[in-house]
Amino acid sequence: MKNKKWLLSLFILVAFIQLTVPIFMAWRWEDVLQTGRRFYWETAPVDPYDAFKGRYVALGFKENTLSGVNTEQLIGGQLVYAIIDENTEGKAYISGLSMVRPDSGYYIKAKAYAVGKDKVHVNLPFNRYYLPEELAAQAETVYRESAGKQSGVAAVRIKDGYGVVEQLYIGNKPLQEVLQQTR
Amino acid sequence: MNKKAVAWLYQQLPELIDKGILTTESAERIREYYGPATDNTGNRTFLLIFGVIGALLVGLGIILILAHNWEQLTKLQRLMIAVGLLAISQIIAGCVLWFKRDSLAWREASATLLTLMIGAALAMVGQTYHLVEDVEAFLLTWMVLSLPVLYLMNSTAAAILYLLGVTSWISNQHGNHLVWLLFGAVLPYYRGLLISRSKANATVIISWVINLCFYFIFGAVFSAELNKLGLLVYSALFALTYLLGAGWFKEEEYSGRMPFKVVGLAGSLGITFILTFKDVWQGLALGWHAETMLGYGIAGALLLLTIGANVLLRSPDALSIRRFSLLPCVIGIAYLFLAYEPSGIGAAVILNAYMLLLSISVMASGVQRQSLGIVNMGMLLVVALIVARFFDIDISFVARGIAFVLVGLAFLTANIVLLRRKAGWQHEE
Repeated sequence: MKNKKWLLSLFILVAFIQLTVPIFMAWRWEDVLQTGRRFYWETAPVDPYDAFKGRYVALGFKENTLSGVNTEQLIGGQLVYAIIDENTEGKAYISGLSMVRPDSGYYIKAKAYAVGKDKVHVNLPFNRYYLPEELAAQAETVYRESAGKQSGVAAVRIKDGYGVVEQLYIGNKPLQEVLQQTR
Repeated sequence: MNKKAVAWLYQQLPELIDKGILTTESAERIREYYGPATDNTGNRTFLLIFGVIGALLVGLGIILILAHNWEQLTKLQRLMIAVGLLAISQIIAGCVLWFKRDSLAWREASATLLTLMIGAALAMVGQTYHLVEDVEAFLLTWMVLSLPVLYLMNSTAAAILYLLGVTSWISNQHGNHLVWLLFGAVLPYYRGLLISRSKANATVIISWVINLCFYFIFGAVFSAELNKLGLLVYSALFALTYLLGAGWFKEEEYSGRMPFKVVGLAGSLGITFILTFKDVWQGLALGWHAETMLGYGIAGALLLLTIGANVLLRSPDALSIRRFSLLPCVIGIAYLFLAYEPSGIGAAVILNAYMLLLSISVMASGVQRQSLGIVNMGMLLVVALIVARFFDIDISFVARGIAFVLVGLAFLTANIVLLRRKAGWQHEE
């Protein structure tokens, strides 16, 4: 009987931890979304299928490389801090790399890969935008048709090295609005 | 205890009491000791299988429904659904633990559901916040959170899910040694199973999963280190697997169901066959000195382990086991040969000689044991060797043709002779 009680208490403890993890994850990202600084990234979406998390628009970013860095010390896939800045048009770009966490400013923790001797490609971690199943394919079509005419832009909130996609824009309109018009 | 034997015993009891051999009390005590003779384990097994399959289907179905990504739901509602489903499956598992701990079916089914719901909750949060965080991070979190479930619920299904999860995690994470910690974490549970329920179907199934996952993980972790020493290292692993099966599970009928001997033997014979080709050795001769220290370390350690295990092996037919399990030493010697003679001919000759001797000795022991199966296995080894050599060496078609006909005739004759002799033996008995 005592044994059984122990087992159940242990189980409750484990269950508590299991519940805490998703709640903590949600809280962390919600915090970034609420209090992070908003940046606008130029994008290039496509639409693969992820059976586990449903349909999403895969985002590619135009400004995901940094030139003029010495790549000799870099191991492929190494975690770095990519420092984020805004250009004169108000679009985000990577202005520098750091091996240690910067004290101030905005940065993203991401994997970096060397391209040639002096260029670095950064795998920006927020490269998916999940949509309801029936909308994802449509979203991709809308984007493809707009490609060349209008630019896709992702609004990304950034805080403490984490980034969350807040909204996708085609031209100047949010994706959902564009989809409703084409329906 | 065999239920049929118990049923027979119970039939005999009234007669034994009548004849005064047993008193009524002692007959009653016998009944108490053996329990009911009617067999209802079949029903329980069905319940178990359907329970686990049901939980799997429900869990996967929920994951798919959530993956639809309902646009009507707010973020908070999504989080509540994710956490709520997890909490419900936890409550079910908790109740099973408290009220129905003796029911295997309930434990396995609720643990399966709980494991899947942990993944569903994590995936749902990821979907809400458009997280990528790599599939790897998602799988790792899922598996670490699921690990306690298999121990607390004492569930084989959860253990199998865990092993599969860890294995698919490492398949995207080549060279990450953390996987040994994750893999090792399930071994105490497996050891417990081997001790307490060594003959259960669940134990046999998880043994197969553990074996296959182990080889997969090993390949994923060390693939970069082992390009030229790989065959040596794998031969040592297969030999150890075989020895484990031969030394640990002594009962013939039972050890045949276990994967260790089968996997070890199949792997060893496969590697032997590959290494009888001269071209393979020539390929290995190019640059095997350039292996990393870790590669040499692994190969050396595994070789020593194999030798040690061979020395320590205590078994009535230790000799016939060592024929197979000493293969890594043969390969090791061939590697040394290769260092002095990089053309690969010497090394290939050693392996060909080994395979030939092995097949002859297998045939011999088959004849000795009057087992047609073993004889034919030896024959197959010889045939494989001969066929392979014909693709290797330049000989005229006529010569090859004649050799094939001769081998075929020998094969047939041997089988016919053996069958006759066997019939004769049975006749004499």
